Amino acid sequence: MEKETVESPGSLSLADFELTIQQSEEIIGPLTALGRNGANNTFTLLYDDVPQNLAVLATYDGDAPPARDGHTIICTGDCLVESAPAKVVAYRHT
Amino acid sequence: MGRIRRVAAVGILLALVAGCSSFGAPGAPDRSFDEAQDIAQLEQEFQTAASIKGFYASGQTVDDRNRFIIGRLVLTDVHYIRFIRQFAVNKALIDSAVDIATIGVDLAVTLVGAAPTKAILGAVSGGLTSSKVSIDKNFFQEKTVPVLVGEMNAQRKHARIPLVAGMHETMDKYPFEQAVIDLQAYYEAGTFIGALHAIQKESGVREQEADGVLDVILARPVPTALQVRRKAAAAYVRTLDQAQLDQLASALGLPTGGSAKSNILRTILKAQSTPSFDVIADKLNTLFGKKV
Repeated sequence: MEKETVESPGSLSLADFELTIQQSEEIIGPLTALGRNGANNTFTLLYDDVPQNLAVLATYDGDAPPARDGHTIICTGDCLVESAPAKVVAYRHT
Repeated sequence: MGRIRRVAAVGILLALVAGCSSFGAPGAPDRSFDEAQDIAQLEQEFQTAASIKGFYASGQTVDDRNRFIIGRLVLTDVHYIRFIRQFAVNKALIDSAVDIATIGVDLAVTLVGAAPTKAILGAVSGGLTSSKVSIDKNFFQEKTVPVLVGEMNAQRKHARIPLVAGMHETMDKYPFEQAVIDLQAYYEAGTFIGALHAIQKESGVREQEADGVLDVILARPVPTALQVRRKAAAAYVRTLDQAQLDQLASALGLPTGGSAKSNILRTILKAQSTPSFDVIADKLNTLFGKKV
């Protein structure tokens, strides 16, 4: 299935980064990957049906993101939050 | 050693303040110092911290890596400003470069612990800033070089980001070897060849964008009212059959066929302002009587 990789400014707050992804999911389809390209973050979307529950982001420390009740982990990525490096995990409510 | 530092600090300050006297500018006295020697003394100051051999001989800690990065950044910035002063570029361009370098030096002052090093960096920072006033507008006649210098400034800003971000990372996440590569990219961003490559690449991308073949979407949050409309448009597009998708794609100047739906959806995503979205909304209304 076709994918779309979108960039967003690394200067965004986590809340705005999350909102950008959620608004994009409502148009293109579900999030599949997070990453970084220079000063921008990247996120990849699948051209598919809009997910019932939109992706929710959180930052975390350590090697693995914490599990969250009632959620599955979609993906993780080394991103920028307010221009500072941060590990970001995307959850989706099941 | 202290004397050398003082001489270097004063020398660099003078060199930077009086830098454009190298043009043979009217109203500027002859230089009574050796600019190259001043730079050499600054290099001597950073000889260990900014040398690859010095890093491998050190404990190879995050601090050692960051001192190396800072040393190279400062030296590269000083050389760069000296380099662009050779050309008749306008004051704004030099100011821009000076501002970037000043940020780098200030960063170094913040991060470098040793007091003598702080002192010399502080002097360089002062020199960079005060040198702005010595730019003589009479020399700013060239038309081509300013374009290149502007591009070099932009590329250098971009190339600095991974270095600054990397300094906050562990050695595993941002190894010394990656810093060396990024520093080389930072240096190359400040060369005419690097600027030409960037301009060439950018013009290629623009051409591709014009063809609708490749353009990266830079997404930001949009106001709720606009998002409601975009969402409605995307939902409607998903209900169209292939003939209708081709019709809409054609009206929007997009390729028809199997990729029509995805191209239309990405065009909706790209529409991050009401005027740009209204173009799509008008087509939906005209073609299908759908109001969004």
